[in-house]
Amino acid sequence: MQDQNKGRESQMPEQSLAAPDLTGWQAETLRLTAFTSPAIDLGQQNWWAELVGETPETTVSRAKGGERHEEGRFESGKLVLRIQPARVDWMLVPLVDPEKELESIPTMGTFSDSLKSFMPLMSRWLQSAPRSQRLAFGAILMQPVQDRAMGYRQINAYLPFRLDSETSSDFFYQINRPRDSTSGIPGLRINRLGRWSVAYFQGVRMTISPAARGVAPVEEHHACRLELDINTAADFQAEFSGEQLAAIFRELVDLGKEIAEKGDIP
Amino acid sequence: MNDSIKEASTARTSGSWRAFEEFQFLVGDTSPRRPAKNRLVTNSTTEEQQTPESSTAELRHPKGLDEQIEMLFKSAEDEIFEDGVESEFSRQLACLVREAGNAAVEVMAYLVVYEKVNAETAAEALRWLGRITHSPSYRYRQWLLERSLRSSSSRVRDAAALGLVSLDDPHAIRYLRIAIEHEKCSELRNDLRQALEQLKSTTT
Repeated sequence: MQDQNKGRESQMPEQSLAAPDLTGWQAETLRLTAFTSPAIDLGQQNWWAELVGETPETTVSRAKGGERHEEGRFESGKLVLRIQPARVDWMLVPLVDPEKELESIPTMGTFSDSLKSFMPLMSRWLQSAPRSQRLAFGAILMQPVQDRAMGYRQINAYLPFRLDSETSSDFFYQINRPRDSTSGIPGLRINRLGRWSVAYFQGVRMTISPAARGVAPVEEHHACRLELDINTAADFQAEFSGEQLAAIFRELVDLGKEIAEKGDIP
Repeated sequence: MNDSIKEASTARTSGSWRAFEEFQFLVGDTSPRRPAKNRLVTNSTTEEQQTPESSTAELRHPKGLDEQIEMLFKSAEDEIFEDGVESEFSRQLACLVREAGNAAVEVMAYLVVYEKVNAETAAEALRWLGRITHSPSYRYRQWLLERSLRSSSSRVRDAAALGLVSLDDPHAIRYLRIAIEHEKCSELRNDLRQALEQLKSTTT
């Protein structure tokens, strides 16, 4: 039996690759979410313009300005602000020209470089942000790979178990590994939620005209995909001041970077 | 809309579809060719997995939920509510919260906080919000009740206090104190003080 296994092992392709450093990950989305205190009436806010120094390209307002969506170009991406009754979301997403062919999965560049744009901006906002009960840092990261099998081999470098890259498909792994916060705030726990998969994207070209309609596949892309949701525990009873929020945000980002670099660890 | 386009625009994966919502499918466009778009491809035939409790991603509302709740509020405007007596409106609302969880509370939050529905119906909803037994939506219901202590309507503020008493959670003490400080109606201020005393007795 042992000899048979040895023979089988020598025929099996390598099951995992070494994990690249943070520059191996491309950022598809970065997000900051503040769950505001119920004692705060957000009212009309001018945050986007104050932060960026320009008027947003698009503003959509519902409920007499209470609910708001603003977006506009920011450096190499698009900065989106959404204000809802219980939460404020800032997102940095790729700038996509709908008139141009997509040659690859749209991203904003490396995770590290994207953070260099996003973090100072958010830290500035947090200094004067409304009191909040909860804070979250989210990111969707991609690592382009040649095909699914290569993706599974690559993702093995990040997981505490081995995925069979040759005979598996539809892999999806979601786990939360909470930790105590190192911010000095007593009793604060941080959720470290990660979702791992190998995504398959297919480019399509659509033809819409009076004479013809159709959807034709153009090209396909594979990528290791990591979705991070690093957030303060929902059952934490106190509220955070602006100064605390900035410090917590740095901690959340550091925890996100740790997962991207070292994989799923307790 | 062409079925192929519909399929491409609703393709989902067990991860997030959000980034690709940017791609707008222009129906009626007469251009012979449109640039290539990306779509996520999956073998799954089921809906997305349930959102984990620790997630802070934006909630995806089940199809038709927003309209269903708005219509429920609108149709309840003619209903007569009695204190302490369950109404058809409150029964249906509780059902929706148990089925759709935070997504249902989020829709209610929009309607109540931005005063899109009449005060009487909003008050009835808040009175019963604290009585619903549904653990996953607890925190959001609590937030909405505490937020409603700041409503411009005294009926809504009063109902929010009743809802918080039903919830019986001392977390609301801080917000009741703030509400009492700002309350101009003396009768309501007394009601808020009673609610505060009741919650303070919960901690002892």
